[in-house]
Amino acid sequence: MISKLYKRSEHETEMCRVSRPVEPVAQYHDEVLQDFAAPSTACVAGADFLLEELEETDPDLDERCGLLDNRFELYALRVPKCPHLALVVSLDTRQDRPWPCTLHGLLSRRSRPCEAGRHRAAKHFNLIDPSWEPANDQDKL
Amino acid sequence: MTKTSFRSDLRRLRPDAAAESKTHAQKRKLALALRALRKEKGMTQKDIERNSTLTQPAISRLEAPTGSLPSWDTVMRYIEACNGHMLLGFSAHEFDEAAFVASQPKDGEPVVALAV
Repeated sequence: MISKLYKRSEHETEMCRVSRPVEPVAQYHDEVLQDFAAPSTACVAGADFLLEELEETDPDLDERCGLLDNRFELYALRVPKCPHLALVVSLDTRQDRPWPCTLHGLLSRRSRPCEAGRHRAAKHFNLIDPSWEPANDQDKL
Repeated sequence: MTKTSFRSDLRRLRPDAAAESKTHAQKRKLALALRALRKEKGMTQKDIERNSTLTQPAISRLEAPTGSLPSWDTVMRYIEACNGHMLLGFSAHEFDEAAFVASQPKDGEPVVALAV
C-alpha cells in the first residue's frame, strides 16, 4: 500500500489521506469489465496497476486527450508492459479535488483510443452532441 | 445487494492477473512510490530522461509493476532526477507506513511511504 498525504484544494490547508474510487458508470460496469476478459495477463495486471494508482494520483498531463462537455478531462493512459492497449478514464473537473475518476474502458491503441474513448465517455455520461476541446498533442495517440 | 468495487470484480474475472500482481508485490509498490514522487513534482518520464542518464526504456522498466527489482544506483538516479528525497529505515519490528505519513508536518509536501 502506498500511503500519501494530499492537499484537498488551494484554499484548504488541511492535509488528508485521499483514496477516491475509480469505477465505471454503474450502468456500464459489466460492459467495461468485459474489456478486461481477453487481454493478456501482463496487460490486465498493468491496467489494474494504473487503477490502483488513479485512486490516489491524477494521470500524467501528456496522456490527456481533451476536455469533453467543458467538464470531463479525458485521458488515454499507457498500460505498462502492454503497448497495444490504453486505459481510458475521465476526471470530473467541475467537482472539488480530488476529481472523481470514471473508468471508460481498456481500448486498442491502434484505433485512436482518444477518439474511441471520447465516444465511450459521451455514451457513459449520456451526453448528446457534447463539446470537445482536444489536447494539443492528442493526434499522436 | 452488496456493492462490489470494479477492481474486486476484475480480480474475480482475471485471477491470473491478480496472481501476477501478488508475485511482483514489492516491484509494484516501488513503482507506485516512484511514479507518485514524479507526479508530485509535476514531471513526466521525458523530464526524468532529460535530468538523468537514465534511458526511456530504463525509466519505463523502473515504473512498471512487474519485472525484476532495480539496482540501488538506478533508484537513486531516478530520485535525484526528480529532485526528490528518500528515507530508508530498517527495523526488527513492522513499520506502519500510514502512521509514518500521518506523522509528517501538515504544511509540508505530500509524501509517499512503502513498508516491506
